[in-house]
Amino acid sequence: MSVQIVTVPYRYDEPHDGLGLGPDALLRAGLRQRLKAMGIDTGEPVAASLSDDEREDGKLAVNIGKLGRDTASKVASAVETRSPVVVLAGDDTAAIGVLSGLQQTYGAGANIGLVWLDAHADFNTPETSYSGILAGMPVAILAGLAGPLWREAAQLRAPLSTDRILLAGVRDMDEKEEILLRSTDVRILTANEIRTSSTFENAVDRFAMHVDFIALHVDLDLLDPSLVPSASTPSPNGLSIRQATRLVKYVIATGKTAVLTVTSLNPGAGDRGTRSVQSALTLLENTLGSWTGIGGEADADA
Amino acid sequence: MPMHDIADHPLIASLHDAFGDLVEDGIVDIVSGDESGEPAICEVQADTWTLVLEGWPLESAWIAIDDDVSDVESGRAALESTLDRRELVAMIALDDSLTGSLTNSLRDSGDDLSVALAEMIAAGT
Repeated sequence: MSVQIVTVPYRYDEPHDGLGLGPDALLRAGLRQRLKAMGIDTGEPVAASLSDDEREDGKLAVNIGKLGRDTASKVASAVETRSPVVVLAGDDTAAIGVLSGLQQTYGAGANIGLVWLDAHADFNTPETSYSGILAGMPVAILAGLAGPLWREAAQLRAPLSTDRILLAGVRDMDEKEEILLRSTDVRILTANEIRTSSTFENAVDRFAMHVDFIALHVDLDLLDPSLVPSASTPSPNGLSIRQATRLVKYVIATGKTAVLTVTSLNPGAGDRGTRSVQSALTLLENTLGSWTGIGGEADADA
Repeated sequence: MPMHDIADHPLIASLHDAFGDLVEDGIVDIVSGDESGEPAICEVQADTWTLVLEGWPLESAWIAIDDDVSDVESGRAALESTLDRRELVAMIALDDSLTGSLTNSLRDSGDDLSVALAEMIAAGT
């Protein structure tokens, strides 16, 4: 079995800064070796990049979009192998490039769904956001509710229909963001709703019936802050590693997951960063063994 | 009434000492049903079993798995196929930490499966 690894070692458009150090930290901590011990070959990871020539002063969203264009190219090449593809990205803004890559491979009209596991909905637009933080907007950008220049720069050809978006693990939303979100067809499951019951499993079953490919996105702040104590946007009452493992494995078991993106690992902050890296490694180790790529359902209990 | 951090409660602390590595590896969760500082019921939850602990000092304990068992012997067989070594070692460590009250409570439950677990813990096997 093999897994293709694509890294996006950026925080926004800044390479190897803050969260942008997360992907390399996972690799340095032995991710590939641990997967190898499980019989999973990874090959040499490929890194998306944004050159200085491409970067435009004062145009952050466009620059992130251009980085997304290279991410898309790398993801498309990896997905074409039909092996599982893992994207290790600095922050959630990488998602636009990942979806663009899937559209390159399967077509702009392909029935692609997004399962977004995160403490935050990331559904803000410039009109709803109190902070203006771009990392709080990628799902709304993907849905076509904001950021046309960003999508264009990333060559995302078609926005994602909101009935093909499932948000789970959410426990922190801005007021206006929630109003906007609840006016759409996005399915929202809070952390408490999915912690113990089969609500998540039932929602994924229904979701998977209506999509052909799934992009699974995991922001590590899904986990409880005790497990990722260096998280830059911690939110209390998060999931345990066992609970998160259950969710990821269940989505993988649909047999439709084309790419798993893992974001928001801050490896700094001394021991807290080390603890966060270990949690991320464990989550990947617990889940990737059951994933054989697109086609053929995996066993969620494996 | 003053609120205490439930993590400081001796039962929760013992559970974390015994099962901490398994929690970090995503194999079990420790769940307390009470936020008052006194954990009326605690559970150690795994994918295929749940250990329930009630009261402090420990008043009752039992284990639940997916399979039905008809007697202590079949309970032991079911547990041997359900629990892996690390999980059993953690239960033995918990029983040591609680000076044997886990095995006593499991035996007192009268439930065949829980009695079988008490015997396995006591035997260290």
